[in-house]
Amino acid sequence: MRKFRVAIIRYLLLLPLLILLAASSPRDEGTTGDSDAASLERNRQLLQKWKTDPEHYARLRRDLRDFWALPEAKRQQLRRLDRDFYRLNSKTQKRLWNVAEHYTAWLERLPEDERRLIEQTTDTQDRLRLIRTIRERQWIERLPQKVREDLEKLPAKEKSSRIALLRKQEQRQRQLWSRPIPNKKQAK
Amino acid sequence: MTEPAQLSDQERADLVAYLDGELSGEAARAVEAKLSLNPAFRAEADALRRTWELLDFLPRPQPSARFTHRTMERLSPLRTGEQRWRDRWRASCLGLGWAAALLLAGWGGYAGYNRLVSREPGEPELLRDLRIIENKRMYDRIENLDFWQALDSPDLFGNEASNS
Repeated sequence: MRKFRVAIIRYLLLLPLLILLAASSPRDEGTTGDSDAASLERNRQLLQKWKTDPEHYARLRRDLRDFWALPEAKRQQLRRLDRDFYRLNSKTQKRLWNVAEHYTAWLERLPEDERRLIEQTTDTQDRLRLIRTIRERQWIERLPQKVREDLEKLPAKEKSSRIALLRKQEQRQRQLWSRPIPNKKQAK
Repeated sequence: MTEPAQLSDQERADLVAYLDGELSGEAARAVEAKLSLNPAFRAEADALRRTWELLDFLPRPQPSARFTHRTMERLSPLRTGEQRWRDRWRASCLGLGWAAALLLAGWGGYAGYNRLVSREPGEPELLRDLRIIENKRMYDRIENLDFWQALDSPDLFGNEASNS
């Protein structure tokens, strides 16, 4: 009886080890919710298609390697972003995609030092502030010379309210331009 | 010459106890009185003392190694509860120590392997994360949905997105 008890205690002592070994065995990282059977099948078909385009396929392989070279926290962050984005309705997705394309195109056109500064700013609010500052400076640079000179002469507080007013005017102008031109015959 | 009177069994037992230092108080004093008054008693005491002195010259028997072991084995069931608890605690600590060491070795090996051996992603990873890999260059620059939504503001990229 005593030997039996000792044997049980020994096995109980080994239990945490077995649990940890099971927990630490290699397994998949958290998936995106995109890894069910239907999605995998869709991805397989897409991949078959892209394999016929060697350039595109090579780019994918490169990006895959880069993705796996990222720290795990960063990989998880990108998975989370993808999951959050694809939870939005298709109209919002389309709009945000458009925004992202304009943003990345703008970022790539920026001088190296400014782009690096934006990319290195980790805090979201700080980064937005920085982007807003650069965008405002670029917007002022595009203004007619006379308007720009008048703006530069204003004190800081008045300058920002003037910029807001000018932006509003520009927006109204854009809305007017985007309206369809009325047919002359209909107008008569 | 008169033959000394024989000591009774009780008197001899008292005398032996006195010589062994086991008597005290009244009993010891009674034996001391007999020693001073009774020559036969004194002679018996001398004889006993001499016998014991001779015993000191005899070689002392050494207990065998097995004797100690067997004695301890026989005594083990008589150990106190505290001793038993202490033994069990020691055994548990030893077991836990081994388990912890194995655990640490297993974890260290796994973590070390993953750190040192670079993992080359293959087609299964590409299939699983195809959407992320496709959009990676965009996601790299956006990082989180809050930032993305904040970019959709008229003074940032909202107007451009509306016009395109």
